[in-house]
Amino acid sequence: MLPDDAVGEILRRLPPDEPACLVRASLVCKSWRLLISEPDFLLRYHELHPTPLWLGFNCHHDRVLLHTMDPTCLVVWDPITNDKHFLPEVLDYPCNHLIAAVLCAANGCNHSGCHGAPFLVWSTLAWIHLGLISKSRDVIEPGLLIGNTLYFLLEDGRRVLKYDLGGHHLSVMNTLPLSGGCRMGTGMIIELDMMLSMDTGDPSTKLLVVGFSEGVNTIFITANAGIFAVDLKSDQVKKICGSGASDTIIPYASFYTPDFAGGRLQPPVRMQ
Amino acid sequence: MAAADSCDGISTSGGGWEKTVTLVSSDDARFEVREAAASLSQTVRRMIRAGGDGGIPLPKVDARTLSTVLEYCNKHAAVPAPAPESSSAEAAAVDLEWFDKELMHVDLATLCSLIRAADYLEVAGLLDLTCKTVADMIKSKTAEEIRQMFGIQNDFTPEEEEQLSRENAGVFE
Repeated sequence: MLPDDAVGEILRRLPPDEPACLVRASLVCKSWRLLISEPDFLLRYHELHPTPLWLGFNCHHDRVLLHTMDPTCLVVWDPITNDKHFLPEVLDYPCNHLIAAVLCAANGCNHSGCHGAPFLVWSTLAWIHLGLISKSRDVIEPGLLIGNTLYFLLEDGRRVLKYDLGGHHLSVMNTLPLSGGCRMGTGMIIELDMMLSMDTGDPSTKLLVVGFSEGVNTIFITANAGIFAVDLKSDQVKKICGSGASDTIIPYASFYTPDFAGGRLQPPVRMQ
Repeated sequence: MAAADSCDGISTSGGGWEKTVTLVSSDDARFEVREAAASLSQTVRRMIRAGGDGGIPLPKVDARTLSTVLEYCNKHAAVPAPAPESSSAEAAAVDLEWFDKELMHVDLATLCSLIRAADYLEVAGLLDLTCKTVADMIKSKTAEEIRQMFGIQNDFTPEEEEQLSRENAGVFE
């Protein structure tokens, strides 16, 4: 009824916030599945939907960097493909002094789908450098990547460690004091208390910002009733789990295409 | 001048003279259309540049489909580009949106013909509109419902189907 090109054009207009749509489409027949599995499809899908969807719970460029205690090592994990790379920890320091981040290392990559691309793990002996300038050693917070600079919160958010990836320059700056709301940047304060009290159904609940999603305008907040994702554009609040016992949420943003989740099927044999 | 061979002209209501071109469908129907509207099709635009006699042949598009495509092109080419954020810009956008919505009130077979035509003629706006319409139709459907819509044969073996639903189980929760 339709040539593959046209089917591809239709499928890449399926909404990314409902990953089940693409999965169902991939179960229609082998040629549709093959179409959605092509790396080109993911690239073109990303062109139409520039902001990836956060799917679950320091992540950059489709990968999550984990620190394990036994054995002590760093693990780079791609939650979509389930590929894991174990890296021996070269630093002989207690884990809460390690600052590290994982980044895509592919030349010229636009980071629309970095699965399988080379990656680099950046880490630093920051606590040694910080010994003179920071009293706290609890420096592990998820790093934020803005442009070519990584930011890490220090001392419960009172100071920020800044690392320029291009110039390899490490510095520390003070953050501005908070008052009443949640500061998201210079001159931008969001009044969340009223909105969240209504949505969480508990006016006395203590609200704590425990995470944010880069580029998706979503922050994560714990309250007595659970953990909530707040879309700062639409003011919509969505409960994501019932327990508020988490200190930090590290959202992982990517596109889910069915073929990455499992084994690739053989292309269908075309009859001559 | 070779490029002018397929171009004619008609007088406009304002008394001016506007260049037109003749497009010929696969079933030999001839459509005289303003060049500005026809040029929304990149394929036609290239053919106008290349020139030719007796109209521009479009062997992959039948008259019924071409007439809808041209309805789209005429409407979209007619809208001048007013200053953004002005009230007339807003009104024009609302009018176009309403027009597009009405144009998409057709059955699936017609939509598929329009997608094929928009793809071949490279009318980006129409391709986007038609594909979005079909995507909206299939986004809530199961694989089996989609197969029935398009008359597609399920070519997975039962084992492959089971494996696929196991792999993707988490997405449907």
